Amino acid sequence: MLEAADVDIAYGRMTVVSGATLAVAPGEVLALCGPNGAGKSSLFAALAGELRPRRGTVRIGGADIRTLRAAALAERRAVLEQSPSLSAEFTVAELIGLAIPLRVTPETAEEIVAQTIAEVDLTDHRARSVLRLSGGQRHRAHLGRALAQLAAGHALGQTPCLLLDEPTASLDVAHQIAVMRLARAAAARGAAVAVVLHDLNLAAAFADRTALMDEGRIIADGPPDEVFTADRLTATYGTEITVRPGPGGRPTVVPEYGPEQREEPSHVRRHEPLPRASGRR
Amino acid sequence: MSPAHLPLLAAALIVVVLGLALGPVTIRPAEIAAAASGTGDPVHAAILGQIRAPRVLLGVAVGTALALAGAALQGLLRNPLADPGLIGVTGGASIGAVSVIVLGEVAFAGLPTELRPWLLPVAAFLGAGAVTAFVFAIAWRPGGMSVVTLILAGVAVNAIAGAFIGVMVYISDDTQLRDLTFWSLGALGAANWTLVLVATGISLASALALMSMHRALDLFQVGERAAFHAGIDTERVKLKTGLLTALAVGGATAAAGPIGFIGLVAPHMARLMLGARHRIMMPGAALTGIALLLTADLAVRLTVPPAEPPIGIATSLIGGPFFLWLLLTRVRSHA
Repeated sequence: MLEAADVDIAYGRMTVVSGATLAVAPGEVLALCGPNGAGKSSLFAALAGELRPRRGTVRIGGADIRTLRAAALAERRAVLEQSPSLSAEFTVAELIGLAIPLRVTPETAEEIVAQTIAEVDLTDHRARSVLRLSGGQRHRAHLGRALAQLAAGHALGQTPCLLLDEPTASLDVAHQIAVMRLARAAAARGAAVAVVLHDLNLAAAFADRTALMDEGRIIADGPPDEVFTADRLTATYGTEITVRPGPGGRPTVVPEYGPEQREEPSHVRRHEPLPRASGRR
Repeated sequence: MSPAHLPLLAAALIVVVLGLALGPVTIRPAEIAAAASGTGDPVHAAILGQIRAPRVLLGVAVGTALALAGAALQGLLRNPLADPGLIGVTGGASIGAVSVIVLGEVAFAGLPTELRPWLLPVAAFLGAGAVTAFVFAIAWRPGGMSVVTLILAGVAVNAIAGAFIGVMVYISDDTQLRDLTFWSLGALGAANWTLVLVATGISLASALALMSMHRALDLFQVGERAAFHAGIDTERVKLKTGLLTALAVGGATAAAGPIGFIGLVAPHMARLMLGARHRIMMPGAALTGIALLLTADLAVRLTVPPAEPPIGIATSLIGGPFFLWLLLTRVRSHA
């Protein structure tokens, strides 16, 4: 269980998150969405325990995150950072085993690494240097590092949480789906999973719940079809967005791409200048 | 230690034995063993006990300290060009040593003669410690230490140290200038047992403590945030690495002068041979440092006896081409 209760986060005098209350239950995938600068990353950092809120508490498995040392925290939650990097020639197997806590026995650690490598589909590359993989493979290897840490948490008797910060950015569609399926699989094993996502359709397709942030506040929290309404998304993102209902409460979100790409709406009469010149004419 | 270390261990052991055996008087391994057990030639025992053994032991300590300090700093800063000189350790040691060489006669005129030999190493050690503490204090901010600020502060402090040394060079007389130049190129020759034991103790203890941080250093390769996420107390690791590096390099520099190149190159060689994992790579780097430094020492002792060119020349002369060769074979194997 991962909970934030009435969390305020501020850098100096600038408050970036205010009054955020959130809970992710074991087995649940929560997508944290919202425009750039809405406070997602700051709230994420507070949930990961690396940023201390000015007010409010973050609890993980019932324990106040401030009372847990880094090593204890690592057994209770695994994190995949946004655009992870590596500056050493580690092999895939070495990178995936890197974050497994020392309390895990070497045999168990080895098992976890083998399983995780298969899970992220890198078995054929296990002895290759991560720096020589393609972008998608490298990203899967880093995801594997977090998943192995998560599995180690299970092995140590915890019910750990998984935190993913924009794990699908810079990936192609197939990789995006693969990443989200792995997040779902982690939830199926009992982890509480929180994912920061920019892609609203991925959030709608894979999350049990979505929390929408705007200007530092969580403005809606619930199943995708309740949170993602055309009016709310249009107001939040400041651009025209339509929502088509889909099966099982999983809507499809369609942004309007502007007059150039759009079929001309019937109410616009040709040959008649627009009321105000838009500069393009 | 793992089987992968055996070639390096063998190389280090061979140069240790050669360091004891070779010189103006050749002492064969059997004679070394006899002298060690007290049954050998007393002349051999005297040469070994008073000249070669402290020298080799100092070489082992300095090689280990420089290599492990370099490995730890390169790991912590995620920068393959990091070297103990980078964060001002060597610059600080130089300030201390050069001050004693140039100003010591005047400033410490009242000091008893038996304490005189300690003046330079103690000053070098204190200089290293003070400058490193200063650099760390600058890089320290509430909430954490910035690695970039640490490097930049090191660069600034090194520039200031360079200017100070320039002034000292300018006001020194000919004898002082000569002492100063030779100190700055390093030497294992000045070794006497007390100095060796103190410097060895400090350097080896801190270097081995650095080795125990292998997991944290591995995780720093994925970034500081990722290291924290994996359970590393990152602030503590940065502070500890800085302090231990300063101790290791300060001790080594105090006893043998600023010996360049080993801290930069030994970790790279170990990485090329053994991979990037610090648990395997760091012992390899220590063995490489020992082998490199003792080979260099042998070279300076044997080329133009009884004269001894500074060891800094030899470490670069031997290490440079070897490093290039390793690099080229590796580039080819990946082509």
